[in-house]
Amino acid sequence: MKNKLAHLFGLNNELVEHICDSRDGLYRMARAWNADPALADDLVQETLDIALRKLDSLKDRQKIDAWLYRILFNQWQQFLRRKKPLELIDEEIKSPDQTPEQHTVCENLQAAVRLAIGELPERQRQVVTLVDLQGLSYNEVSQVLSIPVGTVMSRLSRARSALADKLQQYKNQQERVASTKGKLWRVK
Amino acid sequence: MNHSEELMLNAYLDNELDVRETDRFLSWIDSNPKFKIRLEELQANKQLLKSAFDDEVSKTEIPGLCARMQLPELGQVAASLVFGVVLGIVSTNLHNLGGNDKETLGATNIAQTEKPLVIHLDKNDQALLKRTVEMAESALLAGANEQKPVEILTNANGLDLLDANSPYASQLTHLMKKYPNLRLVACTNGIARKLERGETVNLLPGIVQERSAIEHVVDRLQSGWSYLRI
Repeated sequence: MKNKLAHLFGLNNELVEHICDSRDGLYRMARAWNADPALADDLVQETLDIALRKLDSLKDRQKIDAWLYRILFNQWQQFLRRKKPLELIDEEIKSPDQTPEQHTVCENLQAAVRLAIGELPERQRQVVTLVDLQGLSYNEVSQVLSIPVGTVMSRLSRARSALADKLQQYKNQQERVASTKGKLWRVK
Repeated sequence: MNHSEELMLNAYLDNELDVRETDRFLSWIDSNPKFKIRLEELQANKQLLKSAFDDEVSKTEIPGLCARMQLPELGQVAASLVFGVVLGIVSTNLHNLGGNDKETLGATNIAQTEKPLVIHLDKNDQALLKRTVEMAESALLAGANEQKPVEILTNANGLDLLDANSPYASQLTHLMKKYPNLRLVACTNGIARKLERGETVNLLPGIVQERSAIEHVVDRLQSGWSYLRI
């Protein structure tokens, strides 16, 4: 089907395939940027729709990933602007499905990592997820976010330090819980 | 650890160093065990971040070309987006019929060309139903001598046109009798979705069912048909 349509409309099959195959990657990125699966789906759908319609505006095929994530980023920024025009973008997000208790006591490491990412300032979160989740180079991230490579490096470094601290707190917490398990307590 | 050391560790971790820089980095880190520990920690966290989203799979119904699920699973909205994309990348055989006179006139001309014609309807709007039937009749009249094939293809809410209770049921039945070259086509996926929603589907006799409207359009276009979207 993809090939059929791509051929019919003179689109490059390889690029169309690449865009289609990027769906899950884009979705993971959108989920890392916000906790709402429905919103992530919307962002991805918008991104793919734009990408397919504007495929001929892609100048350098080697830069297709940066181009795709740039579109996703723009969609996300547009959403943020519509949602809260007066707030600063550089703020933390909290997962809406986390209760305050869950906020401090994570059920598992995966949840802890997600929560830690969600607690990063927006700009740091964008950089670290583009690099670590998607594997974009610093140069590509610089293109996606329209910031200098040096800024990419600084934000990434700060994000990773913050993540390391948060995950260390989680590990300490788990160790405390583990050390209390199995002990016998006598009520005086 | 200072800021530039931290940047260096990150750059190595992300394969951002060239060969010479990597060599220098490796000899530097060999003599700094605490940096090694930090690097391992960063590597582990990078892996953790990557795997934290491994189970996230998009359920997005993708417009147009990206229908991983194929059209059977695409909803009505996605289906109309499909056609939106199709029409957005217009080829000479594709025509979208809007409401103004100029476009209607253009569509009439299209309907009267010699090429076989597929008229596509995906909405239940009285004016659009009427226009669909008019366009079909006009095309049939124009191609009467050469028995030009004409199809009315319906999906989503456009299926209502072909319902036995449609206000155009008797007119369509009459046209089918008069013009054997007229085919009325219903999208099976659209029918399935209507049934899923608990709606009754009672099509006119003689309706041909095709699994996917978009694939049908593509096949027709590849065979040199004209496409008119109402």
